[in-house]
Amino acid sequence: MLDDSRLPSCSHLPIAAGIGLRAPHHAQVAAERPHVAWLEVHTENFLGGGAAPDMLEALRAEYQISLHGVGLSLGSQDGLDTEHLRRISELVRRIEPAAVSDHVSWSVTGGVYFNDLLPIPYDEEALGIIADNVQQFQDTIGRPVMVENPSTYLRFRQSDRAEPQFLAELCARTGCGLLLDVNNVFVSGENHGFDPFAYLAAVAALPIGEVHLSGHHLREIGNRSIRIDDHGSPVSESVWTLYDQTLGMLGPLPTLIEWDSSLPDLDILLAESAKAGAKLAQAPRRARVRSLA
Amino acid sequence: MVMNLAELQSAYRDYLMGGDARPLAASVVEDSFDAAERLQIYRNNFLTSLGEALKANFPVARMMLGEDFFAQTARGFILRAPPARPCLFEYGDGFAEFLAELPEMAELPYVPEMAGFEFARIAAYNAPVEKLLTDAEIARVPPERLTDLPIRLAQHVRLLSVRYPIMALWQAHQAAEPDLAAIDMTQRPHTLLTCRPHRTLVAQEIEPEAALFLGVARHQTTLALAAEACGPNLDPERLGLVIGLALQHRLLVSPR
Repeated sequence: MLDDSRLPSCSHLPIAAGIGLRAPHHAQVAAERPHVAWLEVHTENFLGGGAAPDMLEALRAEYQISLHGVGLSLGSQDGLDTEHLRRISELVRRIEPAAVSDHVSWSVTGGVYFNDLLPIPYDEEALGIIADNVQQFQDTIGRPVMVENPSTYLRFRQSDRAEPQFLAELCARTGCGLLLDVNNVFVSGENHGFDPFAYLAAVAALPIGEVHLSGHHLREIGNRSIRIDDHGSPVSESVWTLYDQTLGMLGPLPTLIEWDSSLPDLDILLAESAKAGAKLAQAPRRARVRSLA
Repeated sequence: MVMNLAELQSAYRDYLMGGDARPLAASVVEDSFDAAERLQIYRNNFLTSLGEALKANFPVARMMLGEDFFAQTARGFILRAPPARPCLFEYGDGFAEFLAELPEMAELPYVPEMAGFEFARIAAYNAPVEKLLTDAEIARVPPERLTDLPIRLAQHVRLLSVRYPIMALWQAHQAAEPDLAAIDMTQRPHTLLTCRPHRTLVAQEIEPEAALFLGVARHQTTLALAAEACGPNLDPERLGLVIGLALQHRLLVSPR
């Protein structure tokens, strides 16, 4: 396994490939303990009092665990749900994960949770709000977190800066790291007409602690098509190519195969992870100029 | 006019909940897709993903109603009562009551009760962990102080009043092709206990006196007052069985 001292302080993940652990695979992973470098779970699935948190604690004895949240709503003008944050904080204390993350998006307003990663404008007001929320998150759990770049289906007219610049300012203001979702870069690039390689170059100097790879699908709307980030299929060839370019530019980084819907057999997931692992092993170890915040 | 973030997110909420897209659309960049088309993707995501959560939380009700009708009722419930919190294993409180209001349930009166049972299972399984009252702790209480022992129902305990054979129906629907021929659908009021005493789920019918005892203990009370609720004529042996059930399944906490 590669030396993880290259990583920023937001990530203690092995520089190897991991898999997302979802409920249909819980029993099999708990019983068989497959050979995989690390596991990532959706934080919200482990905040109840049933057997799930116990299972996760047992797996923690053998695997590094990443807690990837989907519901803290960092971009919400309402601020963070303190009860939800308290439950996350308890889980972090219990599991001592190698990484904690959530998204540059929002999902809660006016007492309603929309179960989607909704877009925010990239302007000074939104930056201030999300920076405050990220800081509160980090202060509460006592460690830096990573924020994931979103896949988006719209842009706001009032945005006055590009997404990479917004992410850079967020990282600088809060000391958080970036979870670089390469599939999201590709999907958003196709949906909004920007060059994904230029995006990678624009974020290359940020404190990147993890990479996500996942599947997406093409949805036809009239005689046009738009890409939907559904995490429900193998990583596409275009995204593997972009991942190769990512490794060429940034060097090897902890990489997760993220598959959330239409789950395949565990063997297929592990095979995708092995493919990413093989690419990581071949990746040039670039000493890139970046912030080790 | 540029909306601030609060206005933008409020307009987004109104749109997702079925409102007009126009206030929000003015803020969206239009190119090969117009704003309405781009916003519709998010509305689809919202309804579809929460529909999937309800399918996962109410699998037997879904089998009983069929895919299309379940999807239709789920959509109605989502727009009436969207989740307040991101832990979707908790989503569905009120779905049974929502179903009960539908005119179609006149022909399927057991379905709302089944949905209530399925939510009770979810709520019990995911309840917070507490320090539960055990028989060893009861044994340490001086006999003269036993009747005044404060007790409260543990958070992992759910009681459900039903009229239909919900346990038998639920069990039959664990098979892909449920065999319902042998199930007697005669209405018989009774109480189902659902609980998670040792990290695994337990569900069973309980006697009326147990339902009374545990019902009183929903709010903090004493062992004596809960026993009184079982009625003045309950013989000590049956009361002992009630308390034995409560201790066997760790149904109580003793607030100090």
